[in-house]
Amino acid sequence: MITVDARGQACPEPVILTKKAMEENPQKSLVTIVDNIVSANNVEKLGKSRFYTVRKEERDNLFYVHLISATTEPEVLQPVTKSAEGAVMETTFSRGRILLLSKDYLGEGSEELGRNLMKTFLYALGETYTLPRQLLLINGAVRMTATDSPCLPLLVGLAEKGVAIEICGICLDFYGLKESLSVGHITNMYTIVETLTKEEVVVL
Amino acid sequence: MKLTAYAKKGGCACKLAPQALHNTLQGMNLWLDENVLVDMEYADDGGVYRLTDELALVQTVDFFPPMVDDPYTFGRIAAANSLSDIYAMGGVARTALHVVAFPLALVQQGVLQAVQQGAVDTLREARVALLGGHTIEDAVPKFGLAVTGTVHPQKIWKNAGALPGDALILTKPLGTGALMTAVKGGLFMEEAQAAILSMTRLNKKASEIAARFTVHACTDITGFGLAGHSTEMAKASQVSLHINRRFLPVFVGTSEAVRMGLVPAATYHNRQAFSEVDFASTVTEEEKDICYDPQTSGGLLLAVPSKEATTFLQALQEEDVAEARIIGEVKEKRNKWVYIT
Repeated sequence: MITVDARGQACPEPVILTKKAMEENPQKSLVTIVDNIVSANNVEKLGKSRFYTVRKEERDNLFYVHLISATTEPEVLQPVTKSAEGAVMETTFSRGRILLLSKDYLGEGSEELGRNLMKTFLYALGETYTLPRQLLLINGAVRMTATDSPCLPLLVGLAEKGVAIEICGICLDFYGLKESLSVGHITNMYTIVETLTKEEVVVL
Repeated sequence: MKLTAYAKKGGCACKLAPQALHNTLQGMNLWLDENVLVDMEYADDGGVYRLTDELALVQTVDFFPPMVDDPYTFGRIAAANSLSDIYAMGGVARTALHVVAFPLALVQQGVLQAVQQGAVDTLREARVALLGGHTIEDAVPKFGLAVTGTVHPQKIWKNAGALPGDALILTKPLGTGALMTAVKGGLFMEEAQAAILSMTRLNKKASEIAARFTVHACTDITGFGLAGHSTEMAKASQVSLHINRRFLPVFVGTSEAVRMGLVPAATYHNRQAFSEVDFASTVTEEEKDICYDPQTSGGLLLAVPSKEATTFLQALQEEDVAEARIIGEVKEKRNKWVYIT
């Protein structure tokens, strides 16, 4: 049994050490030992976020967090690049893209086809290893948050997996969808512009 | 050694757990005279003492171990955080004294000087005079300021005063607790930059803009998190605060960090201390952790008349307080203090 001994480690070391052990031993079960309930709870959160079955045990003033491997695929090792100084950096690629959606359909030609394409697109997006970091929704795209939109469950699924769904407030107001919003967060043009100027954004 | 490694818990994540604090002050026979306008009873951000019919003194103090590794940035954040309480009372910050505990070795290496420089730069921006302070030697570095400000006795902003029908406005995003925890573990370094920048920002501008409108109640969001400070406002005002989590400004990366268990100990303390918060059944554990996330140098939470809310928000967003949002409303008192949907 792979054991992560995180006794005496200050937060967030127990989480960091456990994460590393998970990445080095994909699909294996492990147990992390900590000496305080906060670290135990945090390692539990980590386990659940990576789809492990978690069982916490308290014994002799220590906490044993059992992380039982699920059958999901291991995480793809993130691509890394070396900078000129030789330090290893994560590329923005490895942490997921930011996508800007301005319509509730994909492409031009047939809008009907476009709506189906959008559904398939959002579904496939949820199945990728490297989920997007953020989806920005403006104008027509915000209609996908309407309670009767077939895309809403897909957006909810993405949000549950940790994708930040940021939706333009003015657009929601325009379409009368603000009060009934049930996914993501409301953002504004200033924040969207800041994101567009600072990050690499894929515009669909 | 990294500055944050000296601290077991950094920033306001190390505020004494609310329950422990409450017990030490209870039942003490404090001297209070009729010039005391605001004391500790409703957990306000500063104490206020009337000098004349038009002038009152506002006093506050804050200090803590580092939550970032760069000493200069630490100084800037600590200063902004200490000044914030004056702004949250509707006051003008005037003078400050530094409160410092530092390991001798770090002082000799020039680390304290860098921290002081950060504080001095922030104080210059705020136009506040540093008059002195007190430094002791300690294993764990700590830095902060005792700040004195002035306010008109009739224009003090308190936790009390929010009225049913008021709109709730929050001026800075949430998530500094989780992101600084992540940074300690070497994760979310890029996302944390936005949080660090936000922590160095003064609430001065937001406070000055708010003064042009009607403010019924105001507090700043710091160590007890949004849920904790909202509870304090609801209790003092004897109302209930209703917050829509979709409207909350949150730093990118916070939900992911919290999901992964990068949650400061203070979040758990806050959950226990401020349990009279009602969460809709659809609110996830991550979202609750964000509501209880301890903030360092967080934004102002203001209760303003609903008819002024949109104009006020527009003014904030146009004048450099771009992340301000209307996050909910005030309703009459209910079973719980805060309702988060």
